[in-house]
Amino acid sequence: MKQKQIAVTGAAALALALSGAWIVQATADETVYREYQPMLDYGDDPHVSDDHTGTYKYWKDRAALDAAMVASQSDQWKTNWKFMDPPFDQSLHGGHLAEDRGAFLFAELNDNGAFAACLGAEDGDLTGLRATQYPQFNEELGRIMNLEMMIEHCAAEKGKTLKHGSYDNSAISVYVATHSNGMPIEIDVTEGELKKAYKRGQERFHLRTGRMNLACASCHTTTAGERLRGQALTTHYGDAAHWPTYRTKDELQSLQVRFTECNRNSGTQPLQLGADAYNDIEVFLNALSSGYEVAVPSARD
Amino acid sequence: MMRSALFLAGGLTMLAVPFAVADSPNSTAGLPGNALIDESLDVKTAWPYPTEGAGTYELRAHGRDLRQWLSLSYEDRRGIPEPTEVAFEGPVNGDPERGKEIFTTTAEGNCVACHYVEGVAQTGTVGPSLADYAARGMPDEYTYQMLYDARVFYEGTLMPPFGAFNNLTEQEIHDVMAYMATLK
Ligand code: HEC
Ligand code: HEC
Repeated sequence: MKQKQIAVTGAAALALALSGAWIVQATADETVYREYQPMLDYGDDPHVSDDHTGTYKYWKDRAALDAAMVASQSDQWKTNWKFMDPPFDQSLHGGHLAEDRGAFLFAELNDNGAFAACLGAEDGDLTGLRATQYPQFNEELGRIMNLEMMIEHCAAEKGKTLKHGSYDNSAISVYVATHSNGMPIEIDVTEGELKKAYKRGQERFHLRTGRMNLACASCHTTTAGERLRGQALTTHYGDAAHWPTYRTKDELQSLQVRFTECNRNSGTQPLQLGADAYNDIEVFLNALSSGYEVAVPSARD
Repeated sequence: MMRSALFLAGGLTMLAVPFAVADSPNSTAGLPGNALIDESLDVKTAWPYPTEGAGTYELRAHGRDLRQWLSLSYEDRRGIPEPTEVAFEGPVNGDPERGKEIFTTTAEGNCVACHYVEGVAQTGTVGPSLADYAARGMPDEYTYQMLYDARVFYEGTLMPPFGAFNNLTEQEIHDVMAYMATLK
C-alpha cells in the first residue's frame, strides 16, 4: 500500500491527528510508525462545560446530583463519579484521615512560615493555592510543577523527604486543596509554557501505546458510557478537581499515581512520577477542568 | 482497507524531544530512562504504592513485564508495528482450557475487558459480544487475522493487535481460537 507523504510542522500537526493513523518521522532516513486516537477539538481556551459527552449538565453541580441517576446501573456513568465527592458524599472515609494527617504534617513543616511561602502562599494564606496556582510553570525551577512536586521540593528544603506520590505528600496536598474547596479551577493555557504543555498533553493523551495499543483517549473519549471489565468509562472533562483522592480499596492516590494505574490497566509501562509526559497530561486535564470547583477530600472505588 | 497514513516530515515541533533516533518496535533496548522499573522484581515493571503514613512509596510488581512496548515518555523513540496481514496455517491446534485462561486473565489476553461471554463476571461492552461467536461460523482465517492484527480489517480499531505486537504467542492465539470454537 502506498503511503501519502505530507510535510507539516508545528500546530498543523495536531489538526492532522483527526485523520487517525500517523507516521512520525525523525530524520530524513529514520522513521517510526505510531498511531493516535482521533483528536477532539479541545479549543485554545477550554472550559469544563465543553465536555463532549453531553453529560456536564448532570455533574455540573455536585450538591444537586440526581439521586436516581446515581443509583441507576445504566446511567450512573453520566454523573462522572461526582457522587463520591463532597458535598454529595458526606461520609467519613480515608480521605478525611489523610486531611487530618496533612494538617498535622503541614503545621510541623511550617513552623517558621517558610514552607507555606515556598508553596506560593502569601502571608501563610493557603486560600486558592490549589485552584489557581497549580499545576504551574515555575520560572525559578524552569519546569512544570504540580502541587505534589512542589510539596516534595519545599519539604526537601526543610530536610524532610516527602516523595511525590507518597501518602504523606498526598495528605498535605489534600490539606492544601481543602483551602480551595468551592473555588473553580483557573489555569491559563492560552499563552506561554502552559499553552505548550497543554498542547503536548493533548498529543500524549491521544497517543496509542503499550501491548494493547491503547491511548488514554481510547477509553476516555469515544467509549465513554461503555463498560470495560465491568467498569463504566466516563468523560475526562472535570476529572482534575478532586485530587488526591481516597481509593476505597485501600490507598490515598495522587493524580499521577492514577496515571500509572491507568497505564498498567491498559498494558503500558508506567513512568516515574513527575515525568514530563505525565506533567503535560496533568496540565491538559486541569485545563479540561477549568471552571470546575475543587472538592476534597473525595473518594473513588 | 487502511486509509493512507500520514508522513510528518521534520519531526513534530510540539514534542519536547525530537525523534532523533528510531529504535525498533517491541524491543526493551529502547526503554526510556524515566520508565518506572525495579530491577529487583522479576517482571521489572513496577507501580508506586503509597504506604500509609510514609513519605516514600513502595514499588510493587505489575502482573507483566511491559518494557518492550512503547510508553508515553518523550524519551521513548520507539515506534509500533504497522498493520500486518497474515495467512492462516491451519488447522487450529490449541487447548481450549488454556485458551479460556488467556481470554479471562488480565495480564494475558484480557479479552473480557471489552467482550461479553457467558459465565464471566465483569465483562465489557467496548467490543461486540462473543457469547455465540462459534455459532456464527466465521472462517478461521478471519478469526486468526483478527487476533493477529485486527487493524487490517478495521482501521483505527480498539481491538489490540495481539500477534503483531508480540502480546500473545502463536500457540496462545491457537489456544484462544480453540476456546472460541466452544462459544455457542
Ligand atoms: C483501558 C482503558 C483505560 C485507559 C487506556 C485509560 N484509562 Fe483512565 N480510567 C479507566 C477507567 C475504567 C477508570 C475508572 C472509571 C472512570 O472514571 O472513567 C479510569 C479513571 C481515570 C481517572 C480518574 C477519574 C476520576 O473521576 O477519579 C483519570 C484521571 C484517568 N483515568 C486518566 C487516564 C489517563 C491520563 C490515561 C492515559 C495515561 C488513562 N486514564 C488511560 C480506563 C482507562
Ligand atoms: C480494548 C478492547 C478489546 C480487547 C481487549 C479485545 N477486543 Fe476483540 N474487539 C474489540 C472491538 C472494538 C472489536 C470490533 C472491531 C471494530 O469494529 O473495531 C473487536 C472484535 C473482535 C472479534 C471479531 C468479532 C466479530 O463479530 O467479527 C473477535 C473474534 C475478537 N474481537 C476477539 C478478541 C479476543 C479473542 C480478545 C483477547 C485475546 C479480544 N478480542 C480483546 C475490542 C477488544
